[in-house]
Amino acid sequence: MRYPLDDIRVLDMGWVVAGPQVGKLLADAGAQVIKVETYKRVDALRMGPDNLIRDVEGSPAFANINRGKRSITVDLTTPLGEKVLRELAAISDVVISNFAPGVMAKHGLDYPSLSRLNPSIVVLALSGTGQQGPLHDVAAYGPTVTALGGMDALVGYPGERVLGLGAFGDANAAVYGSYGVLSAIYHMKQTGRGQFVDLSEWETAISTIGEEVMAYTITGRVPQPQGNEHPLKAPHNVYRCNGEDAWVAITVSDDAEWGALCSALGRTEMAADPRYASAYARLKHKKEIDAVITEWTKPQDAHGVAAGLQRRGVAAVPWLDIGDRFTDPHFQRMFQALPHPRLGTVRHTAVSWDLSRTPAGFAVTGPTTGEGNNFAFKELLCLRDGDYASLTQQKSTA
Amino acid sequence: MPKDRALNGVRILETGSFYSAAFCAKLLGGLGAEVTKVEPPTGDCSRRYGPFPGDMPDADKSGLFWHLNTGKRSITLDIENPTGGELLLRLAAKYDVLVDNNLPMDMKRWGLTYDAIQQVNPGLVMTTVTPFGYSGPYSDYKAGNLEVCAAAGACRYGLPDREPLKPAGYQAHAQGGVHAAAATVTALLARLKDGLGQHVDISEATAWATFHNLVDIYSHLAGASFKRSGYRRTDTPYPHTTLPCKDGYVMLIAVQGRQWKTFLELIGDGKVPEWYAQDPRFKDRFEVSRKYADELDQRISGWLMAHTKEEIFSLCHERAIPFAPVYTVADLVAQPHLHSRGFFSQIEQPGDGVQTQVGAPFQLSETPWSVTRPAPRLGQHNDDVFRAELGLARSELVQLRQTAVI
Repeated sequence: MRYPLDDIRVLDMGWVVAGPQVGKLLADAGAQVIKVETYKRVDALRMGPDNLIRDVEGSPAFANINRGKRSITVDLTTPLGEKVLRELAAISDVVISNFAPGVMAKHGLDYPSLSRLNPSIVVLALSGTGQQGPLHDVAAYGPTVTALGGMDALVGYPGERVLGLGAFGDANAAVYGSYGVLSAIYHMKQTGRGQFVDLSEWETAISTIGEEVMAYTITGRVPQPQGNEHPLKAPHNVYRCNGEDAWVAITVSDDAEWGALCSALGRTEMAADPRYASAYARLKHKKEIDAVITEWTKPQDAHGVAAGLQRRGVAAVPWLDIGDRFTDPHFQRMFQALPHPRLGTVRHTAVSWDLSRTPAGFAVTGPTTGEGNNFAFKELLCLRDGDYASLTQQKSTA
Repeated sequence: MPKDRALNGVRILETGSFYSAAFCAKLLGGLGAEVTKVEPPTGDCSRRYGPFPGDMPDADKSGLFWHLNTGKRSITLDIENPTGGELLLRLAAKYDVLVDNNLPMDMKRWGLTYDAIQQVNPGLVMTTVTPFGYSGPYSDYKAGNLEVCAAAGACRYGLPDREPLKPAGYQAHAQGGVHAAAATVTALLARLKDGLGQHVDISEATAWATFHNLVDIYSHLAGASFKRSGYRRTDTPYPHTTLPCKDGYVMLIAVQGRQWKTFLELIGDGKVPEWYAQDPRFKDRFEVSRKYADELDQRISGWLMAHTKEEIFSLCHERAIPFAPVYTVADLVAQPHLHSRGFFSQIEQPGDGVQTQVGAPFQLSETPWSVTRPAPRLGQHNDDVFRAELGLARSELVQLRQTAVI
């Protein structure tokens, strides 16, 4: 066995980011993932701002999120399209979608319909607010999910207005979605029975700050924006370094680390000063401490500060932006270049988790539109030439 | 009780401290795995965090500990001590998964490497969640949530000329935990085929950097770098911002022009206000974002300040405008939609009554999420585990306790 999921076929009817990212995790683990597209409406990710050649095959982001997948073209608004998808679902193990609730049902592709065809099938429906409930038809995007999810309300400088602007609804939902699908597959392998996974991006967002809900249950207190502060530790912040928008993150977790930091600062007298001699005391004087640290870090290179503090056993790491990560010794391993039919090569993000014996991986970039049509319609479904032509001859009008 | 659990029969040993391993194990536990949490004899540090009912500190009543550890058993064991480490290996022989978040160099020093563990149990899946993983130049870096967020690109909030802000919660640890849960099940699927375990190596920083904000990576490569911008994005069509309303804040975003026009009609009592319709500066919403956002914010603030979050949400919902209230946790706990979906769990903590907390992160039709057992007292299950599972005599347990091994 090369990959854990190499006997799993996934019909990825996902759109843009959320659904397709679940497909990506499953494809990386060896599943055969068939991405369902349509000439009538190009996936928005194909034509994002990263696409400089303005051709549907010219998006590196699309190529990355859909690496290792096949692409088929199906017009969901035709009886032939619906029929073909049902036939593919009948021979697949997983169906993923992130349409608005009701769309799949409208086309006879909801869980009850698909499970009648295939009792082992695992169906994931991922939406902003879930498949049912009074707000199931709320239009939600990745950015609004963090507002709804209680996360934005916690982002801001201490004592100042809420800033929010979270943007992680889709990716977070996709990781949870993959956890749900994989668990359902595990159960199906033992019992032969599939099931329906109804995932609300809103709920998965809240799940990442569940301790805040617990705290409210216990105290009735509503938390305010806390900046980078920590309830038990000081110093705990991001400090300005030399250079444009250069910062280093530092956390002191105990008195020994505080002593080590003071040595690095050249201020050993601060280690014994009762104003800072315990976490309790340091929390009370965190503004002063932050000012002293800033004076020290401001003229220095962030990487140098971090390396020096790490040698002394203090948690310190440079703040990196996207460009920094391409050259950083740890993060540069996160990119794998692959050939791409239109773009020469494209840098893909490495797999998100490492399994020692059955490592995840990918060898092929994202598919061109419909490149999997022959495979799916002729090899898998043995469609007649007339139907095959119907499905594949529509040209994009994008 | 549900008739079936997705991860029925999977037995998990959880070591390490604080959040990431505990959250991974909590997620696995919610789908039916049996989780035994191994704490140092003095208890996991999350027992100190609180908050505490009535603000009365008690190691068995810390809110953070409760959130992360409902449904689990607790044993005490000093795994840093060779005697304790040996007991852990004896336990590992009888479990399916070990979830840990200690640094690689520490586990190595204690003799608790994957090599050592797979010798006692080749079928065991060892899932480690560490800041930078088990390989690479930072693998033994000391790093908490803030440090990982800073390096991985999660500190992307705040004002451009002030320190970058981390996301809400302990997000690096939460993400590490979810990725670890999914990866653990992947390894369990591999094990179904040939009975063999493996080392699942999760780096919190890698998980974030390879999975979140991916579109930003490719925009950067195309020449348009993301830069934090306070409460407003200036590179997307207006509005994309968080503004005050009568009782809090609301998040305004209108991906489609139609959504923005509908909002203007809403605040204009049925038609787009003259001050907007007649002004040629406002034709291009990208232009508005770049140059006139302050002015537009001012124009609409009157209407926003006259309406509550729920009023705005309701009016927008009716009209398919995707504006969203910036909910607080109080709002969430009061939200009927979430309750109707069974999102919250009600778990009784003995002596403190029923606690409302987040429950199912998603709905499974056949094997729903279920956590009913309260968070454990420190060492509550020492007898169950050391005596019943390892066959230690009561007198041995006493000596181990006296010598601080358990």
